[in-house]
Amino acid sequence: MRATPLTVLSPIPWWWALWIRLTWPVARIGNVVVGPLRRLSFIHFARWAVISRWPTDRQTRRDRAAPRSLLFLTSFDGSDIQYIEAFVRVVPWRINGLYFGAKGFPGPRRFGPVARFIDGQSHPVDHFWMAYPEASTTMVAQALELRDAYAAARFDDDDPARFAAQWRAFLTEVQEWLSPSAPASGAQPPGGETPWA
Amino acid sequence: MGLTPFVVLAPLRAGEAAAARAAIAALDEPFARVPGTHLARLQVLRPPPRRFRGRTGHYLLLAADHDGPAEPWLAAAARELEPVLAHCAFFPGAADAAEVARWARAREVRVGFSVIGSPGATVKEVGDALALRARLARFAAETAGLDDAALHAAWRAR
Repeated sequence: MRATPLTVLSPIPWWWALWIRLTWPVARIGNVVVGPLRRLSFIHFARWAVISRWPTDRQTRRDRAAPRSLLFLTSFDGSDIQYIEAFVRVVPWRINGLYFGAKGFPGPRRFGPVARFIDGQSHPVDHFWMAYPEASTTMVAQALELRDAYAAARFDDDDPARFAAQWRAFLTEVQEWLSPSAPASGAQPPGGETPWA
Repeated sequence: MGLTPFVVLAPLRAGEAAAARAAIAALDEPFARVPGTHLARLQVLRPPPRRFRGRTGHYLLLAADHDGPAEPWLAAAARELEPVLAHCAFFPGAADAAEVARWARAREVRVGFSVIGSPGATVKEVGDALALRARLARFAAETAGLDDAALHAAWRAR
């Protein structure tokens, strides 16, 4: 399996929970925060949530020992070391905006302390499943781009010379989406073969 | 139809954390039988305790990203995960989809901020696109260097 899951639970004070709740709607506007994270191109999914009460069901007795927390659920290609290193290198102020108030957060600039912080607050995932386990984030993005280009392409099926010219032009156009490797058999859709056109 | 996150944090019955872990370990691939699931995780977790407040309880975290809507997904997931969910406090059993939905909604954690690698694509669309990519790559590799007539014949014979 290519993707690695990570679950991080960070205790936060009430004022930081408030800050997060106020800033998330702003962060969701436009592409300033999300864009650089998506361009890292190895994140399948990253989700953050504030847990203000344990358990969340207000009909159930409160677990008073459990702290208000920031929950981070993510799955990504590669190792957690590469993942944390990329976050620290590429998006430090965005990490600061999420974790500055978290208890024990060492600041976003240095890899070692951040890695130790995450390691200390991560919880082992007992079961992880993915519908397309052999496909990296990049492969999925390339495949979707290729699908659209293929749908838009026109091939003259009756004239070998014209067909060949069109096919080679198409290949030139989509070359970057076909390489470096084709997905493994695990990436086949559950419904079996997909028609070509 | 949008991509929907679903995160449930359900307290486990006292003393059943190990049994819940064992039930998770005994699962094969339950989410493969829940249509529309992109990815999912299950884990038993215990939040770190606040100082001088005693011990925290154990919780089951079920988190998934799926092609909405939530209720049919939840009903199918509950059927597949019943041996695990049975260790959660007040789990009503998987038979009644409406009860399952009510139980899960009460324990749902609202996702506040997300980054998604390929937003907007369903599981089927991703699978189809990957399969198409594999076939086009294979065809391109097999027909490299052919003249026009042979390339055309290969295309028609594919």
